[in-house]
Parts: sequence; C-alpha cells; structure tokens
Amino acid sequence: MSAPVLVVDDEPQFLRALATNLRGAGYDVDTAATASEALATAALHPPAAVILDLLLPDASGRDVCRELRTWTEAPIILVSAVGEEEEKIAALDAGADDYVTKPFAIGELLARLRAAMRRVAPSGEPVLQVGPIRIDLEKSAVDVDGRRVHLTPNEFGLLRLFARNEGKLLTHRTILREVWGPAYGTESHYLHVYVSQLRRKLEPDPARPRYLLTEPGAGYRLVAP
Amino acid sequence: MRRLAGSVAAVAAATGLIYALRPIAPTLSLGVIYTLAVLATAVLYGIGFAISVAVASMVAFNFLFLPPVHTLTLADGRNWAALGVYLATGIVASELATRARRRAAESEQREREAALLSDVAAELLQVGGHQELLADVRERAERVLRGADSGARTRLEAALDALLAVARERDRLDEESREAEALRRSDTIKTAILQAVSHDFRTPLATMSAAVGGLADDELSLSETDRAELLDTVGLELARLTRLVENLLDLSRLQAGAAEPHRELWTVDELVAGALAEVGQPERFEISLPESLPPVSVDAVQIQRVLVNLLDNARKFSPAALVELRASAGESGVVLEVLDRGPGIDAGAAPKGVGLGLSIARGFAAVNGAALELGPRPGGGTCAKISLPAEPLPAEVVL
Repeated sequence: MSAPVLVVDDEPQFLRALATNLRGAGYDVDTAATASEALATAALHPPAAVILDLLLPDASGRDVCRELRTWTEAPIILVSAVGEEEEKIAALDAGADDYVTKPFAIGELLARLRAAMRRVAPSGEPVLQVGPIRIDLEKSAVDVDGRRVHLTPNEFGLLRLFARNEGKLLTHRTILREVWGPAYGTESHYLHVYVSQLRRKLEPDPARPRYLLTEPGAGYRLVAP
Repeated sequence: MRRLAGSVAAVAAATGLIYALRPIAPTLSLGVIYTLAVLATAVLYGIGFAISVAVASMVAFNFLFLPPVHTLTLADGRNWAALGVYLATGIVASELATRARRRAAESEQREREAALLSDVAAELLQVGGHQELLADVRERAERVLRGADSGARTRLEAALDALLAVARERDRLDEESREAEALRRSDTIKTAILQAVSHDFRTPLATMSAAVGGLADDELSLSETDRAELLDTVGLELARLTRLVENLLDLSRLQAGAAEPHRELWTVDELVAGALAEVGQPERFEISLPESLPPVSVDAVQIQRVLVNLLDNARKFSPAALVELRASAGESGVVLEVLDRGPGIDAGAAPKGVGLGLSIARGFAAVNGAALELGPRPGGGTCAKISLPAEPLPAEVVL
C-alpha cells in the first residue's frame, strides 16, 4: 500500500465528497476531523500529501502546518474560505505549499495535488524550461518561443525564482526574501509592479496571463499551460 | 475721587444758587437749597458722602450766610436745626436710593439670568448631543453670576439643572426613536434584499436540481452529449450561485464597515487580469490596456470585485455584443471604462441581481477613493467609468 493522502476537514459531507473523489483519482485516503486526530493519523501512517482545512475546531491551520513541518516534507494543500486570507498567508508562511478556495472544482484540487507531489528539489540544470520560456542561468539569457527577451536584473531574479519553483505558489514574503534577501526594503512596495513588468515581456496578452499567474492576496506562481 | 469732586461741586452749586437768589428771598429760608445737594449726593453716592455733604453744607451756610458772616459760630440754634435737617435728609434719601439701587441691580440680575436661561433653552432645543454645550453654558453662567450674591447662584444653578435634565431626557427619547427608525429601515432594506436574493438563489438551485435529477435517473436514456450538457449546466449554475454568495458576503462586510482597504501598488494589467479570470468567458470581452500606465494604489481584491461586478453586469445586459474594457491615463489617476451595448441604465426596469452587484461595486470603489460613474454610451448602451488613484513610480525606483 502506497503512502496515503491525508484529508483533514470537520465537515463530514465535504470530507466524504473529497475522499471519494481522491480514491476515484487513484489515491489511498486517510481522513481526520480535527487537528489532533490529523496529527495522530499522520504519525501512524506518514502521508504522501496533506489536504488541510484552514479552520479546525481544535487548532488553526498554521499550527498544524508548523507541527507537520517539524518532521515531514510531504506537500500540504490548504482548503480555505473567503475571509480567511490572513490565516491562509500565515499557514503558507508556516510551510504549506498551496491552497484552494472553497468552493473549488475537484479538478483544480487534483491538479494542485499532482503538481505539489511531483515537485522535487531544484536540479542543478543550467537551463530551465517552463512552457515556451527558456532560461539559461549561466548566460542569464531568456527566450520565449525562441525569441530573445531582455530582462533587467530584478526581472531575471524573479523569473529564475519562479522557474525553479514551477507550479508552486510563492507568497509575497518568500519572493521578496529570495530575490532581494532578508533585508528587502522599498522593493516590497513595488513587487506587483515588477511582476507586471516581467509579465508584459513574457506574455502575449497581459490581460489574460497564461504563465505567470496571480493568486489574489497570496502570491504568484509560474505554470506551463 | 470722582465722587469727592462731585460732592464738592454739589455744595458749591447750592452755595452759588443761594447767592443768586438772595435778592429775592430771605437768606435764612434759602438754607433749604443745600438739601438739594445732600439729596443729590445721597442718591448718587450713598450715605457716607451724603453725611459729609450735610456737614459741609451746614458749615458753608453758617460761614457765608448766617450773621455774623465769615465766622463759624454754632451758638445759634438755627445752625443746629439746619444741620439736623440736612443730616436727616441725607440719611433718609441715601437709604431710599440704596434700596432702589439694590432693587434695580437685582432685577437686572434676574433679567440676565432669565436671558441666559431662555438662550440655553433655545439652544438645547435646537441641537442634539449637549455635551459640548454644557461647558459653554457653565462659562456663560459664571459671567452672569459675576458680582451676584449666593442666592442668585443657587437660583440659577437649580434652573439650569432642571433645563439640562429636560434636554437630556429629550435626547434619550430622540436617540431611542432614531434607533427604532434605523432598525425599521434596515429591516425594510433587508427584506427587499432577501426577496430579490431568494429569487436569485432559487433559479440556479432549481436548474441544478433538475440537471442532477436527470443524471441520477436510471430510467432516462441520455446520450453522452446530453449528460455532458447537463453537467455543464450544473457547473455554470454553481458558478452563478457562488458569485451570488460572494456578493452577499461583500455587501454585509460593506454595511458593517468592515471593508477596510489594504492598499498596495498594483498595475491595471494585473487588476484587469484577475477580474477577467474570475468572470470567465474571455471571448465575450475586448480589452485594451495601453503600456506604461502608472501603478495605482488600491486594495486589489476589492477593486477586482468592482471590476467583476461591472463586467458581469455589462455581459448580462449586452448578450449580443462584445463588452469592451478600456484603460487610459486620466487627470488624477487611471481611468477604466466598461462599455456595453445593452439597453442603457435608464431604460426599463433593471433585471434582478443588478442592484446588488452595482451597490457592491460602488461601495468598494468608494472605500478605495475611486470614483464610479455610470452614464449612457454614445451609440447606445452603458459606460461604467471608474477612476483609480494613481501613484507614479519615483525616479529612483529601477525596475
């Protein structure tokens, strides 16, 4: 038996629907209705991934993330509702990998889950390819569909970070810390402007971005459509 | 000093008058003229000066007019009689005058108190919330009471207290009736919203129920296309229902004043992209976003709610034509226009659901300092125009 996906939610019908869909997608599933039950189950059957409701009766999502991260690197996907943005960001900063917002399509959750489980440690490859975007790290050169685009050093730093974490949601804080170092200052004020500028150079239609996606209120991710 | 000079002048004037009248009247009877001086000083300056003037008058009369003239002999009984008359006149007159003066002062004081009370009463009637007024009233009462006795103070304070108590009671009643009115009105609004919304809820629920019922029914023979169609319907209705619930949440947040914007610098590109992704059906929209617009300082989630509602409304009203969204640099910010070819805002009754989305758009626009205007579009349709506050990049920021 392969490592299960642990689904944690205090809403029985929702838990049932999720578990059924995940089994249908070929996963083994463990379920838990509270944070303490989730931690006990995870300790018993170390999960391959965790799908975690942000608000549980006995603890917050960020506490569960922090606890899990002390001993497992299994990807954690949060299930949040509108109005829980602050808690969501806190849980992401505490080690969660991604989130979906209720109500969501099961296909979206499965895609996030697959992407999170596929993700591996950054390779030492000198060239990264995300969809039509090709990044030569040694030459600091970027091509889109074979066409060379010229990026400023900040834009290149951003793109390199996104490409190394293809498909992964990067929170604003993570991006700032990784690109500008822990002492980032005024840059945080202009992060969205930097990203828009980069997007203008990569995307054919900036009003309908396909590669560099915004997660409202949370962060950004680079995807290969 | 002035009183002393006045007293001397009174004695001098009486003396002069006696000199002048001597040819026509016996000198002795003219002594009565000094009583005029005594009277005047008694009334004007009080008893102290009246007694002095009485003595001075007697001395002057004796010295100047009574034989032997230019000597001061008081042996004569007439002198004593004159002095007695002058003193008695002075004491009686000054006492009467003092009383009159006191009465006048008291009635003046009462008049001032009455004026203050009636002013305060009028002001209390006009304004609600009297806390600011109280300090002012106290100060004015002190001014009115300056130099008044303690009786006046007790009297005025009692009257003011009574007045303020009445005002406070009236305030409380006002407040109660205002609250009742606000409750009643918000109740009416809520009922209206609930009625509108329950219709909006029932439609997608009925549709989904029908579609799911069809899918679950073994006796129906549905083709693969039919099944796909029914599933697609469920998905669309779910999206509609979701948007409805979000709007209701937004509305309650706005009404509770809990929509504090979290402002950051965003590009219009990003705001529009977020809204379009949420609205779906990209083929229905034609977007024109010029390059190099300045960033805007707004709450991205809230402004996306504004744009989603505007785009959604425009699409609903303009089923045949593309909805256009244009951005341009305006005077005080970046102007976004959502243009449809619908019936226009004033034509006919607005279909259900529009009011909700629009009032949410207005609410979020307002808390972000963004003006939202709706007007007719040349050539037919509606133009919704929102102006977002821009914040140009400082020169030292290198992108």
